[in-house]
Amino acid sequence: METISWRPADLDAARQEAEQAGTLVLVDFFSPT
Amino acid sequence: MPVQIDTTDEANAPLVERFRQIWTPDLRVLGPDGFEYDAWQGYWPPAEFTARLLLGRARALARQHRDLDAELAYDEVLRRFPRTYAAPEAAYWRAVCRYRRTHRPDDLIGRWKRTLQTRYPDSQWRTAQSWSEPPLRE
Repeated sequence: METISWRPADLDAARQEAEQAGTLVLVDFFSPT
Repeated sequence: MPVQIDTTDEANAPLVERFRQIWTPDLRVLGPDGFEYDAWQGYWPPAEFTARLLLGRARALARQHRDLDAELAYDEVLRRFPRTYAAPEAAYWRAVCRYRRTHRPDDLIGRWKRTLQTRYPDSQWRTAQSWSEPPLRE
């Protein structure tokens, strides 16, 4: 089973990393239970 | 690049507003420029989630006009997760991406017939291609 290493909520940093890596950004809006 | 945003954290309120986010879970697939290629909401069990994630990637590739990459990505959904909710949509778009490259009618109509009309006859994506099917006789 694949796992996802979620990052903290720094969307701008994630977009910059995605730009450099030539990939996409996956955003998970969640509410802790 | 996977990012989690806690919608109950006041510091994230600007992001919640920017994405018009109203319910969780809520997943978005963005380009580095912030363009939203895909979105889905609600709880998806692990296999369904993985298939939906791969579908989101395929949708982004297709909308970037990377037709061969998108076709292969849709094919991966169909090969690995043929029984998921994402599969019929992958079948629909896999054929579209192939046809956009080859312009051969069988790559569109024939592939829809061999997948959606036979394997996923009750899916909404079968309906989406139903114009290509012969009319029912009375």
